[in-house]
Amino acid sequence: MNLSALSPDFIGGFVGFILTVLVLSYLFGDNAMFRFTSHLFIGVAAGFVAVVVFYNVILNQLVFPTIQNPGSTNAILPAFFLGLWLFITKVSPRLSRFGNPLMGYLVGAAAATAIGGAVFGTVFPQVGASGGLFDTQAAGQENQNLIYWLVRGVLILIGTITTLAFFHFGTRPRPDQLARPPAWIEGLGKAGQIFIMITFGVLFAGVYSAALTALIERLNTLFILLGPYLLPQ
Amino acid sequence: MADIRCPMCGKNNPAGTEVCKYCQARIKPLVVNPLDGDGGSGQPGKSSQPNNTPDHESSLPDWLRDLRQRDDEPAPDPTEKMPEWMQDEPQVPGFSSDGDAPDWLSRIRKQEDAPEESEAESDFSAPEKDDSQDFLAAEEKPGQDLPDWLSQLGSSEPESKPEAAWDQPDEEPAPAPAEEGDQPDWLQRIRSRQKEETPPDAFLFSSEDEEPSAQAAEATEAGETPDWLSSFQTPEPAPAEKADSLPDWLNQQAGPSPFSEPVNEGEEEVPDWLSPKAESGPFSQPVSESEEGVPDWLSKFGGQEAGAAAFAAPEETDETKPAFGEEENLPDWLTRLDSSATEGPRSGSVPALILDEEDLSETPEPDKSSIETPDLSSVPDWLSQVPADEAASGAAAGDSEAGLAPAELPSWLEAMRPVESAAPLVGSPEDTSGPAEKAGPLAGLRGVLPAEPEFVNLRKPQVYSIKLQVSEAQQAHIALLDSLLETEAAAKPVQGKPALMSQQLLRLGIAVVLILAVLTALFLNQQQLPLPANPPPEVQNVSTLINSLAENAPVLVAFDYEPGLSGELDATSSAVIQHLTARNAYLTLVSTSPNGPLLAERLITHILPQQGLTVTNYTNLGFISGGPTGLLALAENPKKVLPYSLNGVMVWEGLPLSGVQSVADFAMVMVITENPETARAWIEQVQPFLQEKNTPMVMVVSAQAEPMVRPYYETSPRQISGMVAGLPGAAAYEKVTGRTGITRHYWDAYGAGILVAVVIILAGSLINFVLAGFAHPKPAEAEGTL
Amino acid sequence: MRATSTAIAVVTGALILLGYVITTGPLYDLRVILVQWAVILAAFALLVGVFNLLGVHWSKIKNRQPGSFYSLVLIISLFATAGLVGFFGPTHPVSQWIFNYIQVPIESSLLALLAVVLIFAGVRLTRRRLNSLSVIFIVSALLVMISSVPIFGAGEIPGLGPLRDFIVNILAVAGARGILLGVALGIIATGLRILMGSDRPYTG
Repeated sequence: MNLSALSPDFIGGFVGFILTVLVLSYLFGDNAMFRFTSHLFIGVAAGFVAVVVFYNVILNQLVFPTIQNPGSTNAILPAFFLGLWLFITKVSPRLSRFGNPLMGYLVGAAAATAIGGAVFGTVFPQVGASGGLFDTQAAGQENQNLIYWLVRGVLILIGTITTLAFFHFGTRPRPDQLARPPAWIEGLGKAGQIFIMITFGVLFAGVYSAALTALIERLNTLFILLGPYLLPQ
Repeated sequence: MADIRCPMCGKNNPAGTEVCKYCQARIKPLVVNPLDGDGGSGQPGKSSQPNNTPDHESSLPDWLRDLRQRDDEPAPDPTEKMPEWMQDEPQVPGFSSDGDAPDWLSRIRKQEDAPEESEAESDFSAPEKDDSQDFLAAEEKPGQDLPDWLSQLGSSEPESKPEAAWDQPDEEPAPAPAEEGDQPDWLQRIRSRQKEETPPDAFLFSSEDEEPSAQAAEATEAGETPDWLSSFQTPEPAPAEKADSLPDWLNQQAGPSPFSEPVNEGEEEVPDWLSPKAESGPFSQPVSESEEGVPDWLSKFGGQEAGAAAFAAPEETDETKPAFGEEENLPDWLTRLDSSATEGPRSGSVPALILDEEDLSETPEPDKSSIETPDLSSVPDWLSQVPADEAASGAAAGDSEAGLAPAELPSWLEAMRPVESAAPLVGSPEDTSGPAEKAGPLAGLRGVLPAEPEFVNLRKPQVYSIKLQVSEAQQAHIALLDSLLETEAAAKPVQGKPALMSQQLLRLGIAVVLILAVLTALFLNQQQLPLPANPPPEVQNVSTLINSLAENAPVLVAFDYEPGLSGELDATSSAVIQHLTARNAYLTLVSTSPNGPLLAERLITHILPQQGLTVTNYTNLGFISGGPTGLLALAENPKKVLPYSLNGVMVWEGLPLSGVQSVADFAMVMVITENPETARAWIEQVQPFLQEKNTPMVMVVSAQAEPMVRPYYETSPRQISGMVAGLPGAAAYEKVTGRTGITRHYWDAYGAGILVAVVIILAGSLINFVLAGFAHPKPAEAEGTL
Repeated sequence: MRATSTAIAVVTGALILLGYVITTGPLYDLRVILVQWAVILAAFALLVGVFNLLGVHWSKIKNRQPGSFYSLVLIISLFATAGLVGFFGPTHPVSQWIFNYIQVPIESSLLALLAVVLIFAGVRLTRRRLNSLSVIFIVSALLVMISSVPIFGAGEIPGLGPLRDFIVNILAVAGARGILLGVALGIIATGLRILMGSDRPYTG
């Protein structure tokens, strides 16, 4: 074997091949090699996370700006000290409760961000879109048949409403009977189940498509690595 | 003054307090113990419970009724000397320890005053009272003209057994002796003789008895001694003999209850007037005595029903029976007592005592059904000193004699019987109301408050079992639970299973088929499958938008996918990146995932060069932490969030990013992600900022995220301008752009994989349908979600 | 301490939420600063997660629990990666080599396994639960799959394309829109509970 051919890519490819085989061994059941590989993967990923965070946040947002432009980081400098306090208190179980205010700050900011995005980014546009399903002008812009456009709108509207009805879990108390939602909501919910199943079927196809592509990529890599050595020239 | 300690609760009370202020018990008992010398006002044998109800009064004989109505005579001097045997004995109820003359003596005294002839014909009770009063009145005055027989009593030996004539139930103690000054002389003489000679036996009259005995002795000394009093003159036998000769109720007072012992010996020891063979006795031979000058009242004793409460026939005393055997000489009441004794001994052998007048008046009306608990405060000291065990033994002895029929006493006599004598017979509820008091003035009584505080009774605490009391039903449940737990904990025998199960075989077969199909397609690389002929509109829009980009336009590209889906998204995004590179767009790479910058570097430096594409017009700004919050910060001020590139280069100062102040200043925003949530976050947080400048946002998503991202495309106005989804989308994009890339290489293998999956799933479902059709029909299942 | 945390969460959330309405002025500037602080604190929270992972597996090794060998592998790989990447930098070829030939292959292989598992699950679905909804699910999945790529030797089957468009662009969109609206409403309800102090996930 020509050692010069042992390029980093080749070695890397060989390592990747070994790791791929080890992971695919799970087809035969759980084994030590699969566990070894999965733990190796978690360690490498955690190491990358720690380094990227250090580089991108601490160095790029604090150290480098402070060095190059000392006054530019005054506004965010307290956040770094708060971050250090958060790190120290949450790493130690005894001091954990002292980091709760900062966790509250994070949770409050995330909640507000999520609320704003849900309201302005999903609810309003999606409801507006449901109302605009019967916009005949849009049909012309889409070069669609008007009947097709109206039928499409009706189906989407019915599907949206029935799907929302399926996720309605409120019940009305009834004497001497089990608590159940109103009958008309139950009927809409059953229709919504059909739309949901169709959606899940499409999702299933998409997940398989992604997994198949990953399998193809892995097999292609193995083929590229070993092909020259296994296939006749 | 020193505080007085309450005998009941044990708490200190101020001196002079009669009633305890804590428990309301009498500190100073009503019963006067002659030994204490406190001059108690209590009458021996006196019951605190008044017994003066009309019904009870009507049933009493007249003489007894008179006795009850008589005023309390001064209590005898408690310091008066009594024989020792009298001092320790509880006083017989009905007889005062203070020396009050017995009722019958009082009556004798009175009757002495009255003409004897007029009283001789009268009822026994009335003349008895008068006679007794007369008699006593005569006796109380030593200087008076006493009958000779009484005066002879003083010279004779005090008969040690006048009590023998008084057949009392065993456990009934003798009352406290009355004061000497109040007792007839003959009685006093009797008592004095007894004190001098022997340890006194239980004598009906305690100190009081001494005086009658002394008086009797004096009487005999003074004059002709009646036969019935002649017994007083006989020398007193030895104490032991005397003890044996005492009636049972007197014998109970000292050690072996004298009352329980039959008077076996000593007919000669029994006072003549008490002995059954005695020719004379105070009640047995009234005629002879009358012949001798005995007062008429004494002669009437034999024919009268007597207040035999004080002189009840002993149970098993044969000698005592003959004491009343001469019926013609015995008073009727004594005769009846004798008959009742012959009928059978009463259980308990409790002597029935004649209560004093005051006692009778205070005793409550007897309850036929039960005997009331006597007034504990009025129990004479000699009575309270009787050990409880003696009382119990007396009761036991009485119980042992259950074979003997109890004597039938008249109701009025029964009522006057002390509670101790009657309680065992009647079996009152109070008998079982609690343990008998063992100490103090209330010894022998039941249902009383403890004299001592409970905490004084230092005794070993009761041992309680700490073992859990488990019933049988609970034990059965426990056994069942144990058996269930044992089955859970017990290692189930591992059945030998084959190396490969059917499920594993199926899975292996599917993997083998799929891998073979893909490898074959990759190996053949014939690219037989054509690319999609009609690209979807969302894909065409992306192409259109990129085509409309200006030269060196900054394009924000977000690599927000995981390395696991790098195979699909590298193939999908490479087509778009190639198009962007071809348009010489300035790629600004960001990511909200820590792996994103690395994936971006991998695509740019590793994947695209393999396709012959070199990308240099880009900058990798790195990682944005915080998720949606970071996106919001990026949208508001990207320079603040990412001031430097991943390499530490300040890229915002030079072109083309120098003109970018907000995210809307980018020519286009492209998000590459496999997660619908990440796509939604970009749309919700960043897209609103793009609207001000109509900056398009396009999505390069995985096939698994397409259904959840499409609704954002189907809005009006569209939130995302274009979308390339999965390998089919990439193939369509390559179809649109006319470029070949990784997708083309994967397309045949992808088709093979899809075909294998469809075939296997379809075949398996058909087989399951057929098998389900041949299987046992099941009830209709409720429809549910997957 | 609990009240302080709640107050901070409520005030911060309120200020950031107001920024969606008030887009100018000092309030908006304050919101920008608060958001930047949140970004930095989130980065430190990530570091806390990494250290927590270290602590869990270190305790596993120290207590010699079953699987401690794998924990040792994890800790060694973590420190090795962090040391090399931190020393050379994330964009250095060494860092890229580690990422390209260790992390990517493993993750890709794990996803590749999913393809086999999904086919196997599709076969068992009709065996375990055979009802109308499962049939609808399988039929829609197969139609989308078969219509996404031409068939060998047959090419694209006529009618499958429009059918796929009908399923994906109309029926699936309807269901997905309803799911998105439901998710958004749930996010709003949960966020409001946090901003009102009813939920306190940051305590304890």
